[in-house]
Amino acid sequence: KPLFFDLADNHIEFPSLEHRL
Amino acid sequence: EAQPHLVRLDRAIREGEYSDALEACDALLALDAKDADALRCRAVALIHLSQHEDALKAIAAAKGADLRFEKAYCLFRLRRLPEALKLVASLDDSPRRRDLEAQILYRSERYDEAARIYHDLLKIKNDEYESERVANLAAASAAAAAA
Ligand SMILES: [K+]
Repeated sequence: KPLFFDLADNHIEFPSLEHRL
Repeated sequence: EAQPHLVRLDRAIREGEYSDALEACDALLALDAKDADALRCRAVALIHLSQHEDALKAIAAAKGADLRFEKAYCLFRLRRLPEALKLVASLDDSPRRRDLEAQILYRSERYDEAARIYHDLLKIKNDEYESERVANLAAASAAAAAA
């Protein structure tokens, strides 16, 4: 079975909290 | 006072401590149930914890935040592929949207369509995911040829 990467995993990102800190 | 919980949340995110992030979000939401940052972070933390059903509920609760990409990703992970694909189609074009669309198509055994997306994505230069997309294009092309 060929290698396949679920790239969308890397696109689940937290928002920046900089404006609250 | 939200500040200590925000500091804890920020640290937890940076260190990849997603259970801790979730607890900090819950503490923030106990203070303000409409805290938009906490609602959004809660949904993302649940996805990172692979709690996709709970993440869908958190996304539904985060009114006003555009979490359609995250929702489509949860639907994909829950193998609700036609729903995921439909939602992805409503998103603005971007590399992350195309990556998600391509992997939903691949898991739906629509290999030709997946291969076409990777082929197009590989025209974008200076992206950190190029080698993975090359592998995915090869996998999708091989599967399409075998089908
Ligand atoms: K989004």
